[in-house]
Parts: sequence; C-alpha cells; structure tokens
Amino acid sequence: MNNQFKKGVLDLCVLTILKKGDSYGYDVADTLSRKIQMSDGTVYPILRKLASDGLVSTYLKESQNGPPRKYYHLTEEGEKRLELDKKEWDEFTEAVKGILEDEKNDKEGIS
Amino acid sequence: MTKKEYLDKLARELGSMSYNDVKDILSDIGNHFDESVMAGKTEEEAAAQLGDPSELAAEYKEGMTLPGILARKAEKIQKPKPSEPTAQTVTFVVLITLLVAIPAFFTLFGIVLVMLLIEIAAAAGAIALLCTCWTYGAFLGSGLLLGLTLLFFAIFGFAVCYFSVKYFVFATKWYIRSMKHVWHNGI
Repeated sequence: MNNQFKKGVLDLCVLTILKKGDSYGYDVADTLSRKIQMSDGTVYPILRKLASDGLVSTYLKESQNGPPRKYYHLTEEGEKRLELDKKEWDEFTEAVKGILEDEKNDKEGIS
Repeated sequence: MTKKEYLDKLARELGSMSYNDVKDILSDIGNHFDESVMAGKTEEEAAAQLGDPSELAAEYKEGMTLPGILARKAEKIQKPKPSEPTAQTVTFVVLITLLVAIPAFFTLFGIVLVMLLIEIAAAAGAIALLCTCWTYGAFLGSGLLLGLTLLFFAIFGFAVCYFSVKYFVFATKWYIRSMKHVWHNGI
C-alpha cells in the first residue's frame, strides 16, 4: 500500500492496540507488522510522538526473561483522541467508499 | 547488519537531536533487537524488519522536531478566538459604562481637578505670604508659621494628587481592559 496512506492511519492503529491494554514496543510492532506490510521500526517514532503529545504514558515493568520492558499506556487524553480520530476515519472511509461505488456504477451504466 | 552496526548508523543519522533523545531512541531500538533475538530471530533478520536506519531516523526527526512543537503552539494561539459578543454582553457593557463608569469617571476626575486647584492656590498663597512677610518685616513670626504651614500643606497635597492621578489612570485602563475581555469572552 502507498506509504502516505499508511502514515496517517498508523497513529490510529497504535492507539487502538493500546486501548485493548498496555503493551511494549516490540509487541506493538509485531502486532501491527503482522497485519499491515510495514517496517517494524516505524512504530517507534510513532510511540515517541504519542508520548511527547501526552496521548500515551510510559513505565518500566520487569519481564520474565531479560531487562525490564518499557510499557505504553493510553492516557485519558489519548482515549479522547482515539475516539475523535476513529470517528473521523469512519466518516472518511464511508465517503471514499461512496465515491468509489458511484464511479463503478457510472461505468457499469455506460457499458 | 548486526545490532551494533544498525545502532551506530542510526545514531549517526540522528546526529542533530539532543543527547537524551538519541540515548532514549537507541535504547528503544536496542531493546527491539533483544526481543527479536529472544523470539528466535537473528540480528540480521531483526535489522531487516526494522527497515533502513536512515529512514527510521528521518521518521523520528519528522515526529519530534519543529513541526510538532509548532503545531502545539499554533493550537494554543488559536484557542482564545474572540467570539462575537452576545446581546446580553452588549447590554451589560453598555449599561455598566453609561450608568456607573462614566459618572464615576467624571466625579473622580472632578475631585482630582478640584484637589489640584486647591493645592495650586495653597502653594501660591504660601509663597505670597512668605514674600510679603519678608519684604515688610511685619508679623514675621506668625506670618512665617502660616506660610510654612500652607507650603507643607501644598507639598503634601501635590503628593496626594500625584498618586490620585496615577491610580485614576490605572483604574481607567483596567476598566477598559476588563470590558474588552467581557466583550470578547462573555460575562
């Protein structure tokens, strides 16, 4: 998929994943890159930006094997943003679908 | 690319960022390598999946540097958008100004003016009295005493006038500012 497409939506995806529960960088990257074709690295700048915007907070948690993991937690502000962005995304995709459908119908009508 | 090579390259590409930011980022990506290895991947595989370090550095810079800060600033500046005053606000401001502020303004202005005139008169009287006593040499004691009293009264009065005018101007400015605030933001 086109890179510009993905960029804007990945924030939304990361927020959605964190809504389900706190998670650490590798886990978020793994979850996302299984479903969307992208570099694992991309997740980290996004997490960092979300943290600096106050949409997620971080804390360290011991892991069973290896050094403590940095966990990300969705803040209240983050939940608000997620709701707004999700609504906007839904409206946007509906509109795009509508336009694509119209186009298809027009073409079918002509031929 | 091994973990070390990857992190070295990333650090070089991040060059312009602050030391703390770079340290944080390298720790995050370093942990990713460790987790990948724990999950059974080789460092080469992990590096390949992370993507080109210079691309990653560019993504970090995009997210962290000026645009983000500017966007937040712009949000702050946009917030106090002056709205159109409501009918209630207009009535409030007009009534207060007509019924309270303008009468108060002229009353206080008049008081200050009268005070100033009295002071000028007292000063003139004191100087005239002192001069007269000096020239004619009569009633020297009582004349001098009265003249000096008047003079001190005048000096004291001028000080009072000075502060009155100062606070009068201050109060007027404050009133105008607060009315503007009410006008734009409601009561």
